[in-house]
Amino acid sequence: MTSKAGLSRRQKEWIREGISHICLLGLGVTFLFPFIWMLSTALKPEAQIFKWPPEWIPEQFIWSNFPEALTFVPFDLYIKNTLLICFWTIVGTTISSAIVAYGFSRIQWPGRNALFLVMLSTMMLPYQVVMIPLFIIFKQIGWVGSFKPLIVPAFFGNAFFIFLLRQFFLTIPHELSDAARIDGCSEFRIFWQVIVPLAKPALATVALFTFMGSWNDFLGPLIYLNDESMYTISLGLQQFTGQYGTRWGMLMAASTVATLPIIILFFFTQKTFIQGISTTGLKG
Amino acid sequence: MKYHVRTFFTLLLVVVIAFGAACSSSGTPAAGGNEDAKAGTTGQKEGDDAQTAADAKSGNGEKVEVVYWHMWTSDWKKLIDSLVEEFNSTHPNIHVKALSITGDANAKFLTAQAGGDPPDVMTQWNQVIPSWAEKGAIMSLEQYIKTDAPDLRSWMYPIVADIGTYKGEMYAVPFSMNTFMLFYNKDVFKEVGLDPEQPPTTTQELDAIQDKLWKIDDRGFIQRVGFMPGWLWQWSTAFGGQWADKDGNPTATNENNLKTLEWFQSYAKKYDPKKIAAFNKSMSSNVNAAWPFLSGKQVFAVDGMWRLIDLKNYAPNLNYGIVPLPYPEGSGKPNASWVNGNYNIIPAKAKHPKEAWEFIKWLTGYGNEAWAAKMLPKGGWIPPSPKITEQPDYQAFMDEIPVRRKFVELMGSENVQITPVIPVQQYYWDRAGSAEEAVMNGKKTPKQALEDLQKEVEKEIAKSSKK
Repeated sequence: MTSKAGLSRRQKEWIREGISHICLLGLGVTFLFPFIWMLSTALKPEAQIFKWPPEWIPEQFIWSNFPEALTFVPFDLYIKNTLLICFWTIVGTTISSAIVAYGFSRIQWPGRNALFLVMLSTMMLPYQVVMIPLFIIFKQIGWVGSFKPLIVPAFFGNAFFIFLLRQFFLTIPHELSDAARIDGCSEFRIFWQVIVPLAKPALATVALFTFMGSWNDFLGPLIYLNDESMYTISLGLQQFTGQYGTRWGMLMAASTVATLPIIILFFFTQKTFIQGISTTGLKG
Repeated sequence: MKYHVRTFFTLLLVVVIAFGAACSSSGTPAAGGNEDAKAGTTGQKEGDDAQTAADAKSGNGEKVEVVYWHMWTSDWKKLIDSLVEEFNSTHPNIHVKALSITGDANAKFLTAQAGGDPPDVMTQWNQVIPSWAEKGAIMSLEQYIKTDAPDLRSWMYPIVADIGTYKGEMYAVPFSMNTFMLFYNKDVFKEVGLDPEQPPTTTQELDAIQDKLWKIDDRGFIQRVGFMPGWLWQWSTAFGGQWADKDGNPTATNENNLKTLEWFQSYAKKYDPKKIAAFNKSMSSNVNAAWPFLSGKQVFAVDGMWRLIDLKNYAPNLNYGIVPLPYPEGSGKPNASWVNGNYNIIPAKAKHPKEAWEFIKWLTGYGNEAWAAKMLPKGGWIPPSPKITEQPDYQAFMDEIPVRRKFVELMGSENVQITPVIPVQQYYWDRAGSAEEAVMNGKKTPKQALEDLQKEVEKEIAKSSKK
């Protein structure tokens, strides 16, 4: 009986594992589809792109789409511009959101919860609503046509990330702060040397999400940039679609290159990222 | 809550300005000297006085910078850039700075307009003239036309002037036009025993040959599409339909509109639109190379002159012919087509409207016909004026692919139509598309669909006039 039961248990486990792996594999492939299509389109001759049924493997590999797409528009310039905006947005968002979240979670002060609610309510405002007032403000201070409207607001926190970090900070035992305080730590030092090191996964999540948002942002650069030499990648990719048709091969080649940084980043930071998501209870 | 939000934003505004003032000397690390200089110029441009002051300071004559926004990308963008360069080299006092706006150009324009920082001139092809004119977002060009180009209207093809005219005043000047014709596949005609040189000229003739042209296999799958009507506003021109009266009131229920839609329905009853859509989707998208007509599996297609290049490049062995839209015998209109164009507008808050007008006039080819005749072929466009068509360079372009002449000649036809220039233009156009779809999917009868459309549009007009 014992041997039989053990075997069946192992078998059951095998079957269970097998089924879950098949499901995961299927889902994984489904999620991979668009990416594979993008890659295969980037390499296909124009005439093969919309054949039905779709052909996944190009008849001949048109590698020339890549150099062509990258020289068709000043792609290196667009990448440089985008990285610049991304870098400062990440620095700004992460630092400012963490500081504000600390204030909302670890310090008691009158009106804290009311102000927290006010801040949360700004999250409900769609960008389109504040777009024109913001534009007028930036125009008045002469920032339209520069990167500043895209970077500086990041230094004033992001409601969603403040909320996310606040929730995370709340889970850190208060005893740690108290101990530090007894040792004579200032509030900022507690934040910097106790809370921030503990919150690394959450901060990494914020940084990654900010990077993705900033990398993919289309409306902001569209509205504020008035010089083609300052365009970002998301604007540059649109250069391949036009009034009379789309250059699919080149568009997909350029898109592949534009997606690459995000994939590479995920590849290396996956663990931190997942950790951040699971500990903050955030679902991507 | 609203109050809280407002105070929050006021606070934010104060902080932003304070921060801006604090860091303006150092600039953000992202900025660099170049960008600061740019921000400086924007600041200077804010007031007219400041501008003149800046001009006086700069000292090198009165070179005026005209900001020009357009929506072209890829090869067209390069073409536009080269045109702008030509203008700049021939106009020492004006420097046009072109910007290709990709994606949602209207969002950028309206934000900039509301923020008081619009471009000086913009090329559009969307149906925005009446609604933008009504809102006061673009300026009437009459003052410039009167002093500078009094015969502009008669210089143009009549329909071209109509496109830009709202309430009797010209708000936009088109510089390149599109007309539409019916392409047919001569190879298929031959295959099924029809004379390829005798294409159908009436809808009755077109209807009569369909059984020969469609190919449906045993399982009911479509293998080849003959003719399938679509695009109501295109075809209603051949039926003598009318979408608005002289006063700008919608006339969706016009009897000829109804006839067009009933004709559409007769096809939808015979051939399943869903299957055709699936069939077309399987072969097409709006990509040049995958136009279903190129595959030879669609015998007819209504399209514009630029397709001739696609045919030459992607299907050099396909024998095709071109006819004006077939019209119903007796009551129909020969040589009909819906016409649109690319046109230039000057925003109401433009800083240099006079120089912008100079650019518009030049680009349109007024007094500049020989140049325009050389430029338009590069975009595959049709001229806005017969004076340009007459030029030897444009004649040579038409002779290169002789059927081009047919597209161009349509411009002079009295049966070409535009979308009525009324403030609800875009809405009307969109809802008409939905009405057509409802009929094709069998959800509404043609009569019902047009009556509903009429009501919708009237409601929309009432709504916008209240404001």
